[in-house]
Amino acid sequence: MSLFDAINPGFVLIAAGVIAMFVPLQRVRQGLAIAAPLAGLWLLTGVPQDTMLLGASVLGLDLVLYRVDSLSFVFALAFILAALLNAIYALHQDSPVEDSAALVYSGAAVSAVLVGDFLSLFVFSELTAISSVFLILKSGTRASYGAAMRYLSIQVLSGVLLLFGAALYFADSGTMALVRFDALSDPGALLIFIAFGIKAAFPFLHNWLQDSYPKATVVGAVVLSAFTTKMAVYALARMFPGQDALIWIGAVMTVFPVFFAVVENDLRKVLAYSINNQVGFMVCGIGVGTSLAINGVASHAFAHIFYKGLLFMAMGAVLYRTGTTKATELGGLYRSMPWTTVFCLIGALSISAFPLFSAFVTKSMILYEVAAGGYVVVFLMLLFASAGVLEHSGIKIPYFAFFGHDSGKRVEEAPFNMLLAMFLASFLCIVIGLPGIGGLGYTWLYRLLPDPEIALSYQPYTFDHVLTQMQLLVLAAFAFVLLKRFGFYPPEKRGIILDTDWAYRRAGYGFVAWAGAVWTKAGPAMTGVWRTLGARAFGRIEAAFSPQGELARGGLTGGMAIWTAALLGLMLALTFIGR
Amino acid sequence: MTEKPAERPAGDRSLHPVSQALFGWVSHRLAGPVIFWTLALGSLGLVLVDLVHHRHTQVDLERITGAYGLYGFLAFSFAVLAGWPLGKLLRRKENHYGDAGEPDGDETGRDRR
Repeated sequence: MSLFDAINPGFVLIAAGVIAMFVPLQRVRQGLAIAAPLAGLWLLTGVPQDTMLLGASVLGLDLVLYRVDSLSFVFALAFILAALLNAIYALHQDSPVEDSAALVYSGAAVSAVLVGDFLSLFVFSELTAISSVFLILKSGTRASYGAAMRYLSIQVLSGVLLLFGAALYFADSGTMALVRFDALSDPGALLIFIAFGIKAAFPFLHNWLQDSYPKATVVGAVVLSAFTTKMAVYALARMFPGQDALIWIGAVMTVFPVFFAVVENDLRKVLAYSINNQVGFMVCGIGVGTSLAINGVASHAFAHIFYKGLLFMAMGAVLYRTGTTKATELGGLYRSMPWTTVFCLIGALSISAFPLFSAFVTKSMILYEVAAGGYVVVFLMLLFASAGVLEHSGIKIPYFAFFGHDSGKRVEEAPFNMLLAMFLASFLCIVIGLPGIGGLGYTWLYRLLPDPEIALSYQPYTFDHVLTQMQLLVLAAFAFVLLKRFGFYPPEKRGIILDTDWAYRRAGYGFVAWAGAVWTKAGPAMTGVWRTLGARAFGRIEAAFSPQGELARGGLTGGMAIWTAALLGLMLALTFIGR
Repeated sequence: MTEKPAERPAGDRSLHPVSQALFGWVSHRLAGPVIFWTLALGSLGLVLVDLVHHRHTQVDLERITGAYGLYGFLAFSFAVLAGWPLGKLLRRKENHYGDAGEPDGDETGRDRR
């Protein structure tokens, strides 16, 4: 084992990010942003698996700082590739803060999946939160500032729950090593479950995602889309596979965003809901917990990082050129942004799971295992969500941005570096989805999965699978055409859509404001009451104990005698009763 | 920095050369009907395949002819039609939280040509 084998690739990215902060020369910094993922890729692919490569002992705790296994490998590989594409996507801008934050964030995510103990996982999980918040703050608007603070609060809360849960687990077991929990009845396990439930954006814990990602910078939203939720998917897959609760949580996650995405006007927020929807499939697969289902989870996470990144890149390019991603203000951009349109369509086809595109060969493993497990209702929910994802990400995003009514906007095509990043992401979306020929196509991805033998025994390109998937998608697309033709498709309208963040953004703020107003009015009155009571008490004490008081005038002897007699009597009574 | 996006004049309807090659057909007057009938006939054809091909099924509902197509059509329609009441129920003015009126995303790093 060489010295290089002990270098966690995530540490390389983090170090590059810290250095990048202090490098004023744009091209040098950006060279670093591209070189670091390439170095990380070289390091990751050259190490033996299932071996502890770097460890440490701190305060009697054994930390596993680097170890690779088949589950962590596929996530780390996807994260590093995403970091590389993100760096290319950001080449047009000179922003040390964003370059640095993106590298540290990516590195923290890579590190988080490559460590083997709770304390290290906590540290890198928190680092993802702290570094990524700058990608939102950098937008520089009041809205982004508020969203960044809410995002940070929720992520830190998740970290605190993780640490508390890990401490409880350590108190029980005496070890900090990552384990598979068999039940949620253990309080430590439950807290860790909730902590990663927040990061995975479980239903009712999800709205930090739609609140913050659309308010991030053009590059920031692309970077954010790749890491936090997938890191949580990895953690859940490692610690909670086979937990029945996850099947239903995942199923609900796939369904509810469909309805929000239909009425949402901001296309980057539609994509944020789409993250919920797609992560729901993964969470559901973790709940099923079979080898094939976990393979499905890992492969779908891998594919998702690139097709969702691609869609965010396309919307980022639109935002960069037009200044908006509101559906009401867009349309007809295919006229001036043809390449961006093509890449967006590839992302849309991939996320919709059309044959020859990535999700077709990944999501189907999860659906197959859900049906095989006899979860009929869940299976129907996932099929509904599959039609729903075609609606919001497959059709709505490209249609309203690039086709639909002509907004009259005639802008330049996206910068070359953005197009290059979108091309590379598109390439991955297609190459993963192709039939396996000569070791390429989907078999390349399947060989990287946690259980490659089981994965390779699954055949996505059967006549039945292609037929049923095309039936689902083509008839759903026909429904779109019919609804548009007859005026039943709801028009896009300006406005925001209420979600669970209303509870803390409106009701929570309202309560705090109300409490403040009450205090403003009640405070002086209460102060007056306390002042009066204090003055009276002082007067009484002064009247009794001061040199001119009652006790000083000779009442002390008599008073003391009476109190002594009373206490003696009490003691006698207690002693008598006690006997 | 709120630099105005560089847009071509609104009257300029010329297509990007690549757009002309790839998507020029979209603006043709027959594009709509062609898409409609292609999807209609494609849908019909895909459902009819079920009549002549015996599919392997895992769930009883899959045995219905055209089950996936029918389900996709209904699910899509339901999701879209739900948008009407949901929009009325959940949509508020953009300044509902008091932070509207600001541009999306990155202002400071924008470099539109």
